Amino acid sequence: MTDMRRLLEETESDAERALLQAGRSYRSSRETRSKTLAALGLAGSSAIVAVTAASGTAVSATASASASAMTASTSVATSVTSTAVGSLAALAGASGAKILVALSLAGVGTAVPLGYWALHHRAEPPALVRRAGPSRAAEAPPASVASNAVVSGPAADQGDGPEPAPLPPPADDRAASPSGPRLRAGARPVPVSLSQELAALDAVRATLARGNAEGALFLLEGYDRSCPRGKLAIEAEILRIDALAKNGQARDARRRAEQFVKQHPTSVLAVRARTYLGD
Amino acid sequence: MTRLFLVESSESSDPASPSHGEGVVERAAPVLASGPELELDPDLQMPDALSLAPAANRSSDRDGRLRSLVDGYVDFVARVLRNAGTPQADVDDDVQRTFIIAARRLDDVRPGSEKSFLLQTALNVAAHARRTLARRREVGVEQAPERFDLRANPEQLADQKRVRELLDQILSRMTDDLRTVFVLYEFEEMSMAEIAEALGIPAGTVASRLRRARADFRARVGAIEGLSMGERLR
Repeated sequence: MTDMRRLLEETESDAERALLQAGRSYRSSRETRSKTLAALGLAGSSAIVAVTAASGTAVSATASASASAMTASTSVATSVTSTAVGSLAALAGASGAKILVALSLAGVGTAVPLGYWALHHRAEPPALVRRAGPSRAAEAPPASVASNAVVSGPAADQGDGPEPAPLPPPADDRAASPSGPRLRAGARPVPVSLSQELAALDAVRATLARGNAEGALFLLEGYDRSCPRGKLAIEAEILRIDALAKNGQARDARRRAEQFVKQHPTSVLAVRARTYLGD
Repeated sequence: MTRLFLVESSESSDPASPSHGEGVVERAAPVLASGPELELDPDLQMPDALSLAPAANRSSDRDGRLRSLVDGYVDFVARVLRNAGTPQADVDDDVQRTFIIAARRLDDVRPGSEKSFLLQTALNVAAHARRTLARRREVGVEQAPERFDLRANPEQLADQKRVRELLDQILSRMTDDLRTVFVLYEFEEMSMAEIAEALGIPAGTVASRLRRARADFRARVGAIEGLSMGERLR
């Protein structure tokens, strides 16, 4: 079959030509790729290319050790070192973007700022959690869950490079250790940022992906305390249902799944919950 | 204020994966036999991406392949969606939806057939978006049709935004079948054979649709060009 010439090549109408060129030349926005990777859960394991925040400040993502496919190159007005997750939040904040978060794809290759969690746990983490890896003593502790061989890459990098952006205090005073290094008595609660929520749930997912359901549940308790009205509460609940099921608490998983489906019947995540209803 | 949605509740049912096409290996086809409609078995709507405990190696391979898909085809998918009638404001969401579905079916997509698979998925997502949009308009106030006046204001052709609006209007009035072939041939510069394979229709059908689509396009452009003449004669 011989194809016809394209209309753009043969038209003599300026209007047709302009219209055809408009159709051909459409490109996705600069953020589309980053948001798509985030939706697929790939952003957490890699650096997101710089995103210009609403303020005009460019945010430079620190490439994690496992990030080989993406290049973080940025021009910066004010250079802020951040994790990929932080950049994601900046992205969302900058554009009011909606990101369809598939929380669980990245598997174990996720690099997340976990020092945050140290501020939110009074209790000792379950053994499996503690055993997961060394912690950064001064500002992070007991619950640094993602310091396995894969995830420890970025932390090692940070030894020579700039420190991660400081994390704000937790939102909920009750969640903090009385002797927490960053909190003053009577300090006003600061809302937990979206990036921290994302990081927290990434950590849960990574823990669960390694088969440590108990540790995941422990981290989720911390999430609940720190983010009582978290923006990602629905995602956290789905992770909890998964963790309960994997921890041998099938009845609890089912009960919560039923509740979830009832409360969020149209959520795309309800599909996930229904898998635990066992019908 | 930062807002992060999982999905808008009114559009939470993910569009269907492609129901046919060369890109899908045989064993998966029966699973998708529910046809082009979007009301799939709910279990099929979730990507494997949400599996919480993937084997590390498999996960790594999948991540790499997925990332390559996004890198290679994000513009293609966005353009197909946009030219298939997805409003600009929804393109990002629907690009994500398309790739999430692709992630769900990744293991069933033969190497080399990724573009075809993504195309079918994007077309389904766009069809879903159009139906949603149509429902919204049914309950909303009917908008007055845009008036374009190309002859009186030829400088509009230098205004990319204006041209895009005009293109949207013209494409939106084509039938879906004609628009799809037109977009793939004229904008994506796919061959007729590629289009036939991707859409699962005979090559002769592609050719006839293309001819009709071109006639439709030219007639609509001509009508818009002539509108200003009529206006000025009043």
